[in-house]
Amino acid sequence: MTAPMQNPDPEEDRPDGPLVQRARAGDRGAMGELINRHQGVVYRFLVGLLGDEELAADTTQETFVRALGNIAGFRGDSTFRTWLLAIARNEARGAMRRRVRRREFTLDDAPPLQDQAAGPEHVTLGRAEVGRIRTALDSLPPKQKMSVSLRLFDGLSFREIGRAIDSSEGAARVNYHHGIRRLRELLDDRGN
Amino acid sequence: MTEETRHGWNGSGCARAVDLLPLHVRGSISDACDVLWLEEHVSRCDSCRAEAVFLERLLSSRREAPAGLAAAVMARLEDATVSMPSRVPDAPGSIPNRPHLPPRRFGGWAVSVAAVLVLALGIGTFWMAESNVAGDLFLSAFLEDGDEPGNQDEWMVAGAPVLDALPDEVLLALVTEGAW
Ligand SMILES: [Zn+2]
Repeated sequence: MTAPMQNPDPEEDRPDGPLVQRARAGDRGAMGELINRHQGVVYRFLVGLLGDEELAADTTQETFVRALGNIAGFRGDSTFRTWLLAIARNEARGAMRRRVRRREFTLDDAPPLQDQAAGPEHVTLGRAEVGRIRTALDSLPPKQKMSVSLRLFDGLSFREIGRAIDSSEGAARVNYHHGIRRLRELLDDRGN
Repeated sequence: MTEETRHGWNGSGCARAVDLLPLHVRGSISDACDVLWLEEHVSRCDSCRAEAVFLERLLSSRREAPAGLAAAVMARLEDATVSMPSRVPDAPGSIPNRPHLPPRRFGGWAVSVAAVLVLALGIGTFWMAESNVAGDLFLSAFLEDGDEPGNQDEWMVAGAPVLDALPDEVLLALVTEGAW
């Protein structure tokens, strides 16, 4: 196998506690750092839930505004990330509700999942291949999709994934492995 | 030992390896013993080596949050007159109150309880025209958390409906393209 790539989230293993304490005291720098640490996982989680990158981006913003605006309510019974993902889930529900309401009045089509497969991180793989993998991932059942994403892209433990997707730790592990197996079936025709 | 290996496996090394590989390919295993064990295993296991290569391929497709998100959030926090909640939940499943914020693109939550219920009925009716099953689920799930007058404090917080009672399956069905 090749050497492990550089950790995409070098801060993730550092505890959030000190930053949360500072953020609760109104430290804007600490709030910004918390956003930088966790915006990726929240965004990807919401793309998985909502199936729409633009809506996920808006909802990611809502999630952080709501979380940091109420950070006094976080006392550390769970990890800050788990708390954020719970808020993100609720914000996703609100976003879905608003979309339904908009649909009720305008009858417009739900926007297709956009392929934003551009950016420096995709140089090595190629835009078409990135789009193909994302399409396969997006086609998985929701809990498989989010288990794969949270495990592979964000390094969560299966226990934390279970809490995020409202399942047990064991179910999160099974969903991850089923998701990977399905992705192999979908993508293996081109080999590795 | 990491959480993943402390409660580890007694059986085939492959089971442990495939659990750890997604962490390894992204470089987030902090325990050097785990890394050494995994690399040794992968060096002699064709199956896990193929898995590692596949995971690296998947990892390259990772989506990133849009640039400027932190600045946008901070600007909104600066602008917002934040109303701190009177009761502040802490459990992961409980949701903090919504601060008072400028309206967003889909409009804020300046919707009365009555209006929300009327909308729910309308949406439910519309939905049922397309799918009776989804309509029933949606309508019953929505009304479940709001049809008891004495329960308003529980499902309306700072003007925002608490939507946790709506099952994910229903919400996901609402935005699945095929469902439209
Ligand atoms: Zn193996």
